[in-house]
Amino acid sequence: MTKPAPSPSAKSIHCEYWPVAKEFLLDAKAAAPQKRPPFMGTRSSNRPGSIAAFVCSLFWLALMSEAVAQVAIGPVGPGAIQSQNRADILRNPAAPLGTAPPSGGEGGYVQASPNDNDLGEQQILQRKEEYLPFTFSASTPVYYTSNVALVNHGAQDDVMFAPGLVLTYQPHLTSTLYAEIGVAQQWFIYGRFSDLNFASFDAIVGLAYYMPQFHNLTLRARYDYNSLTDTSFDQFFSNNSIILSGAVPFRIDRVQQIGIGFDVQLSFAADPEGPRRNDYSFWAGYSVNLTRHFSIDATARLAVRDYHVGSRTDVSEILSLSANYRINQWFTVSLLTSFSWNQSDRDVFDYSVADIGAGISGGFQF
Amino acid sequence: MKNTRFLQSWTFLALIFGLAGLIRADAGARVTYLTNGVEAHGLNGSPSRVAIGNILSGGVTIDSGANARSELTFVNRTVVRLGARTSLHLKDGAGAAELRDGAILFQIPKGSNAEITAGPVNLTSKGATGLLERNRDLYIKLLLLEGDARVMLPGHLGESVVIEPGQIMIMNPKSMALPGAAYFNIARAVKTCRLLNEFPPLRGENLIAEEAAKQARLTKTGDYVSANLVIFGRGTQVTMIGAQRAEKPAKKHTGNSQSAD
Repeated sequence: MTKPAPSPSAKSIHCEYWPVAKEFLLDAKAAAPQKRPPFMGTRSSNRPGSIAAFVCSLFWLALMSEAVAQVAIGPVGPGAIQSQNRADILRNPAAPLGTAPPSGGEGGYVQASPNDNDLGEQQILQRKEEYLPFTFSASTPVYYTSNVALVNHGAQDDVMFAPGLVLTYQPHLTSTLYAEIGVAQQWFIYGRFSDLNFASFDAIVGLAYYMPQFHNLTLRARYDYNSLTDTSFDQFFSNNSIILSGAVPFRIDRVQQIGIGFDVQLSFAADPEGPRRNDYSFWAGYSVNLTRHFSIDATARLAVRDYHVGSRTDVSEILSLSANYRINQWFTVSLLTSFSWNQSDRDVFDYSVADIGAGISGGFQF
Repeated sequence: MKNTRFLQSWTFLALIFGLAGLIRADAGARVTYLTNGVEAHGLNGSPSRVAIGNILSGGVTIDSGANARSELTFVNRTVVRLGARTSLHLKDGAGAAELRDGAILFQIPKGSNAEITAGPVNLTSKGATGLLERNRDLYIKLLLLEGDARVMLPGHLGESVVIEPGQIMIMNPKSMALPGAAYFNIARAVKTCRLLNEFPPLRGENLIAEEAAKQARLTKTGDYVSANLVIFGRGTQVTMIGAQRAEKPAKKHTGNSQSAD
């Protein structure tokens, strides 16, 4: 048996507890540059990184889609408010949850083993994860909707195709502060009611602040420019808003996670002025990875929409469910379902709708 | 008629060989290397001295003494090397065993199936070489040198991870969840590991060397950074070393050894 005694120059830190050593490693890792926070992905081949990249992409897609909802009935045309509500309903359910942060050490224990050199020496290495600030993602969902115009009476069903593209750049400013710059384009194309077709373009600039000391709280503040056009790119509405959001994940175990969060969207300029509104929403989500490739996500969202013109206030409840099968690190196939109910202080705007769809999405970082 | 007899003969032979294969698959493991005293405890609990060439069937527990080491080769070519003071219980089926105490090196050839348990932890692979240590109910340590292996806690939803070469995982047997894996220097472990250096060469040592070289390349490019933390063989005791500390060579083997090769 040989147990090489540390040389006189070696500093024995008596960190005989593996968890202590592990925390030491994690601390060192946290201090290292190029660290990506838990809500982002990395080029590392491990699975959480890939999922993070995908979730991050979907988050942006959902975020951009949400911004589409900045129109209301008025001179912009009868389909505008339906368009914004439609985008709200189709928010990605998994997006707000993000990914779990690295776990800390396990229970403390240290024991000597009689097999000292049978195993050899284990010099611990840290794997440096490369930070990839650019993310590109694309999705091609197709939905069946029970209420294409989101109306109270005389609902018509239809099929809707909603492909989208998102490009984001997220440079880190400090170890926990990131800038977010992104553009997104999404189309909403109906099968029978082609008059309702529209497209949405968003440009977002903001900051994301990750706070591991507060249960991995993530805070975001963004400026969003949203432009709604017809499918010929003729703009019929534009909106400028500030979006403030916060999210806290709670990891139940390795495969389950719940999360809660809020989003506040404050519109400060719109053209035309009529559809301007502020959104205040709270959400709670649950995510479970049943296998390495298959996950189920559910999110419930309560939103209050306060319109600037006409003193109109709506309250919406949106329940989203999705089942996702990850084909590989780039592509995921999803089944998507959402149910939404809207109550307005003007009864004519009350509606309920169910959307069931499927799609393939993909993304990569560079 | 001639064709029918021909077919019958071949069917009979196929049945015979198939049956023999089934029996063989359940035949346990052969002792292929031995150093000092190793005992086998049969189903009746009586200990018997193990010798090179012995075939140990499922249900047998092998205990190696203070300075003893041994190597078992299963019928599916899975190799398990037992370190000193190690207790390994063979289960029915090729490559199925339970580490009850001590340290082992396992090599599961590509294309073979093996399942090794250590307390509540279950390790399965279709091609991997690694080291596994269990110190009673205090800790379980796994190091993977090449290939990949799935580690799971049966009965706990989602507690299943795939370990890659160069990853080390230290688990608390009482924990309900698997910890995250860290990384270790493959080349240094190989250089100092007695379960590699005091035995005849493994068949897949080139695969380990490839993984070590790959890790060395990644270290050169900065993908791996040394944490200056070393576990000197002993379970979970981590020592911080100075940057100038040289790697210690493995102690040369002393002792009486026998080999089946």
